[in-house]
Amino acid sequence: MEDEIFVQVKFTVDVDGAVYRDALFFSETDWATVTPQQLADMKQARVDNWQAAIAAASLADAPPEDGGE
Amino acid sequence: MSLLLLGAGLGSGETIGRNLWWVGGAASWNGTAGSKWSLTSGGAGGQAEPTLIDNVFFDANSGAVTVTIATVTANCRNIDFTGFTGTFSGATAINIYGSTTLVAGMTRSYTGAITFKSTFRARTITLNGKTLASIIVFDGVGGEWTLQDNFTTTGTVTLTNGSFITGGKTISSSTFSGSNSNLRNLDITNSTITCSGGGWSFSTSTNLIMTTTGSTINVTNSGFAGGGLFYNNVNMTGITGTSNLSGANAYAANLSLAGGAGYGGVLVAATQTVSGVFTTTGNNANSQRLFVASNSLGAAVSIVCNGSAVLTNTDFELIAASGSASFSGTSLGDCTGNTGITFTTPVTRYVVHPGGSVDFMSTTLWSASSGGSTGASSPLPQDTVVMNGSSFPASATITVATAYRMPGLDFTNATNSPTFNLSVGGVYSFFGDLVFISAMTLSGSVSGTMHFRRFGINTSITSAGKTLPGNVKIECNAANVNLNDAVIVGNTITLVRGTWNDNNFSVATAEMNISGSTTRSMSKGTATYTITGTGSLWDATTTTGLTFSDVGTIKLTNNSAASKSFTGGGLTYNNYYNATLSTGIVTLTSSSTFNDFKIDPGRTQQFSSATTTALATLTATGTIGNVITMAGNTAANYNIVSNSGTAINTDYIAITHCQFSGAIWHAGVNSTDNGNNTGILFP
Repeated sequence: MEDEIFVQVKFTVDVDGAVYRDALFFSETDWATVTPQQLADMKQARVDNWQAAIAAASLADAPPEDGGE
Repeated sequence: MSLLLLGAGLGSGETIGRNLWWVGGAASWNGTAGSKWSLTSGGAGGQAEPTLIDNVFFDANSGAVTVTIATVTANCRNIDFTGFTGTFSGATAINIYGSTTLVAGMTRSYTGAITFKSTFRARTITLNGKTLASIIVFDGVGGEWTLQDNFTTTGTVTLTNGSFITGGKTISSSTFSGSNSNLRNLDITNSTITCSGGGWSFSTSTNLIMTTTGSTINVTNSGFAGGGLFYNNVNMTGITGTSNLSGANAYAANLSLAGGAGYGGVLVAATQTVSGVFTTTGNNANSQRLFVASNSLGAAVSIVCNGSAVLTNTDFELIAASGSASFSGTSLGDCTGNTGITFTTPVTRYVVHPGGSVDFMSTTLWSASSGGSTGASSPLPQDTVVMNGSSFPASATITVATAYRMPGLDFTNATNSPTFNLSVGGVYSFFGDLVFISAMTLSGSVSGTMHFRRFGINTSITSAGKTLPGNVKIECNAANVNLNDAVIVGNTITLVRGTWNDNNFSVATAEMNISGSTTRSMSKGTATYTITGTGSLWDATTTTGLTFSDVGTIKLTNNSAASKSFTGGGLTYNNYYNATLSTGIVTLTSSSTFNDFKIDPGRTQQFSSATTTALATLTATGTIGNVITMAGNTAANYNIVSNSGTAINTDYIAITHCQFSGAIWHAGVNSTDNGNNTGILFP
């Protein structure tokens, strides 16, 4: 069995006065080819996604109760 | 005239009244007695309505009429329909103090409750093939009833007082119960009892003598509360939901648990000891597997079998199997925490999706080789799932339409942007790590729950920016759930057991619930928790068993007008940030400690009366037109205490009922004292 090795890139930015901390994962192959700009774009995409998700969720009223088992 | 009988076969001291024959034609038993009752068969009426000491007869001379019990509860001693060809109807209760005889030639449409209330022995019940649709209760101190033939009712059967002897006959009912502490005797020797509705319910067996030699109890898709008694054969069959098996019962013969055409399970609450065969049978190896588990994720439960074990298509969780039997079989899933069971050897299952939407447990999804032919059984919880470049065509969806128990899922090498859809509002259990990717769609019901419950084995989540669509429940005893990146949860995160380890990554969730009493731990890291919902945003009401630390920020962002609460539970938090919008008020409902307590302009921050909020700094400066309001949730005082001694400077803030101490607080030149404040310097 071969081990797959991944590169984890952790990053932290301030988003609307809050500490946003996330990580990106790359295979060794992908990591070898990713450019700084691509990496920056990926980070920004993650931040944008985060902000959009929170903005959408913050508009909603209380979510349904737990489905239970 | 009443007759006092002391003879054999009749209860000593029993008073017997009249023998009354029905001569009333089609009429109601109750109401005006009129000419309905006669002292002789077909004789003249005029007798008063039967009482509990009177025997009643419906015979050929009563005619092919309908007799109805309505409005008022009927009473009688014996009731005998021998020779009657009419209909016994009604829905009002009857109390029978003697024996009962129905006949094949009559019609029974009666649906009222039947209570056998004799306090004497030697009562018999003969149905002659007629079935009942009544609730049946045996409730007579010292009473004894013996079946003369098979007994069927669609209602429940309850033994409240007295002795019920089934005489080796067959009984069918919905629930069969007797859970109380009265003196009672149940002799089901050589009988077969089938409970097709609410199951077997003897959870309290105090003062119960039960004789089960040669008996079989069949419970259909419902629970078996055995009360810790000694049984012979017990079969729980057709299980498609969750059925409970409780009481530390022993079985002289066999215990069988069998699933139906669904994804059912049996939750076991106490040790079961089987002398014969212990059988578990799922309906198939894929979407209709059976689940057998401890009813608590906190501790394993024992199943002891000294005969043999026949196990098929079953997933086990927290089962400690022991005894001389070999606990092995076919397609046995390991949901962790088990001992003494030989599980099916883990294999690798490859997704080879045919396109469109396919259920997770469908064999059309699974192959034993990469890109190979499908038709392999769906993965067991201990199996490895591989998704790669051969797994998905374009527009491929894996739908999880039933709350399955699933292994870990790693989409890292998947291509063509697949969709993973948790489509129903049930509880999806994962027994491995989850790795999602940005190039996929993760969807599902907001009321569903992703349940992380591995015992003693850590689980990691890599969400890659995908929103986990519903709730997340952490209930992994002696193990962690670790985040590998930031996570967005569509509904509530609930920490029940184990450790929630955010690894300093950001968390967004509608609500966070860490209240409870089991052993659990939360080490809240440096990143911000963004709480987006309404209602109980943060719930630490009960902190028993909780280890908690916080070096980050909790930020509240909901923009609706709905009220919100933050229940800190006396814990020490780092930073609190009320960044809500709109008119929704946030209330701190309990005393807690914070480092910085921040309120955005225009917000109303309430504190429950008599609570004490300790803080190091208060960041609360409003603006013109966006004044901050601090108030009690009622017209009563609350306490704010500086635990740093650092001066507090605010402005554009209106305060009421605040009892402040510990430092100097300059409210600010544009702030307002709305009364009942102490310790705050207003202009």
